[in-house]
Amino acid sequence: MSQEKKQNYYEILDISLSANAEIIRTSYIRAKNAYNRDSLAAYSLFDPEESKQILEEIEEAYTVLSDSEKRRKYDESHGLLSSDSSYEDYTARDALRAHVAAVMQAPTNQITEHDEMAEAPVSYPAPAPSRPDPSAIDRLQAAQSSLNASVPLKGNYSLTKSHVVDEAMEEKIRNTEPVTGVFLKSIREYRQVRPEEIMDSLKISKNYLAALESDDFSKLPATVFVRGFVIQYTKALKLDHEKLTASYMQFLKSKRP
Amino acid sequence: MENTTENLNKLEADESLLGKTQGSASQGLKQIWAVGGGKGGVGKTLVTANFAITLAKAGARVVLVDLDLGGANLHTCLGVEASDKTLTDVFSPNIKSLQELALPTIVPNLSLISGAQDAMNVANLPHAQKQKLLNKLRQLPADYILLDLGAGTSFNTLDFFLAADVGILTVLPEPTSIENAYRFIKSAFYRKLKNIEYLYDARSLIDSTMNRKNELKIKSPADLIRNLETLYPEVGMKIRNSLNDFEMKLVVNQTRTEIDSEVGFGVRNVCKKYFGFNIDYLGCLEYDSAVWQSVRRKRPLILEFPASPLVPTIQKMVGHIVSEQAEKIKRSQLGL
Ligand SMILES: Nc1ncnc2c1ncn2[C@@H]1O[C@H](COP(=O)(O)OP(=O)(O)O)[C@@H](O)[C@H]1O
Ligand SMILES: [Mg+2]
Repeated sequence: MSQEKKQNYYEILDISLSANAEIIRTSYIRAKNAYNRDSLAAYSLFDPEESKQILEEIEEAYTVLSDSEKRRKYDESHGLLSSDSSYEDYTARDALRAHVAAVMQAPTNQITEHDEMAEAPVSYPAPAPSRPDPSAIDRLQAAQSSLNASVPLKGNYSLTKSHVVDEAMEEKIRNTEPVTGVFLKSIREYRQVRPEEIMDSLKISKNYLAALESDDFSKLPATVFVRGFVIQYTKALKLDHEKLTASYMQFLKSKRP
Repeated sequence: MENTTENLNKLEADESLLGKTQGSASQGLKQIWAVGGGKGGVGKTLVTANFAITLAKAGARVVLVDLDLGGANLHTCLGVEASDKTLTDVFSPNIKSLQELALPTIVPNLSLISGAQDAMNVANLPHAQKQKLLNKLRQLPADYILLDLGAGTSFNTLDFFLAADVGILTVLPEPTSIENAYRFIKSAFYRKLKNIEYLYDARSLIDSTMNRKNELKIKSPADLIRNLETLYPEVGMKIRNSLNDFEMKLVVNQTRTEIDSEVGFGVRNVCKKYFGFNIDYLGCLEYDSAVWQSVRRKRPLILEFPASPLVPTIQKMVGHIVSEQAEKIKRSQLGL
């Protein structure tokens, strides 16, 4: 088969031609995870030999696309983008969306990320006010704005970013007993979540976070508060929060009865 | 690797359902969303019911249709009394329109057409009847018609899935469920290809391409399409374009960890590589005991546990589809 019959590097990483560096990196990691040996996604359609070859292609694609000079040359030689285009995080879809919004004269929806950590019960937006004989397009638009639909979906809404799956670490997360603060810290680092991100989303101070992650029990607040932290902490890291929190609480009680 | 020719040949010739029913643009704004998935118990009913309620609460007129022929339980999840009016009656001479079969629910704007209890009559509809049912569905006075499909990959299920404007696939992050989902996607893909093939009279071209399978190193459907495009550019292009609007949505249900939610991205990448088409990963619905508690109370999750973390996620998923479809419709109306 000739060269152009293969997927191009963008297709291999499942990204658009305008993807920026961050998107390239995330997609690279996701692509690697998709074809690694423990992946649920690939084994039933590709045999190990094929997966191995795909992984090599993924590396090759990433080596080129993560280097702006190499990427430019690749694009040029494959007729993918004019060489003066800059790689902004901007897609044709956004342009279209803006165009459609203008044509429909619909109010541009506010982009509000939902905060998954928020404890408040979810309140529904009020149903669209009924108009005399509302047309379908009105209802659709009403539904659209009432659902605050302009938020692009990313697939998951947690703090964690895509990270290379380390089966040994995953195994440890599943089996380590007891779960200590130090261990929680190692999971956070493995999941590539920065302390500030945790502090922000849990609304806790640096000192508390440090005390929690170093098992400095004297500096930790009353047990019920610690429990609340640990639940939020493990939820933010998308862990099995019930199990890990239970284990941590036992550990805490054994150290600080 | 499975033998692709065999798969292609296994399908009986059937008239295209797609040409006549697909594409909401020509039909006004009415949309059919179908929820399927290879396996039972993966959350199809959860997704269908709660997506429907979300749409209805946002002001749209919604009809839910239980097409899980044989395993119909949507009415239970919604707390609607079993009725003697079910989909089975659709072909009875006394019923003029499907609307007569729609039962009101506790949610304003949302009605339900109950599934046939007696599967024998409807489970394997002949083509003409399927077409009739699809036309009747399109005529329902609603903005959204949501279909809860059964498990499995019967032609019935595939055809309703393919005829819908939006096809949503739910899976669990488990090997058996993913395998089943691929089986479903594969069957849907070949069913769709079969329809396109019929449309463009391309059977012999596909056969001749497949005869050179080894020489051309065809290992997957994506390879087949790529080679068709090279060997027979005109037909290849047409097939590619028709397959391009075969975009399905994926929901990973009952996730417990970060790794579980990443499975969706893996499936997306693998499908692109193997089948050559896009799957839109909507995101994951985490495991939440509120789900089975709501089932036990015979009340939909969204109404019974509005604080469940699944609720905002579902709203977001629905919002994403609505806006994307609105764009699509607008685009085709503008002739873009
Ligand atoms: N996200 C979830 N969290 C917890 N339990 C769930 C979840 N999704 C589904 N379930 C359980 O799985 C059962 C099957 O779900 P259902 O929607 O009926 O699947 P299907 O329609 O695909 O057969 C439900 O009754 C519920 O108890
Ligand atoms: Mg069901």
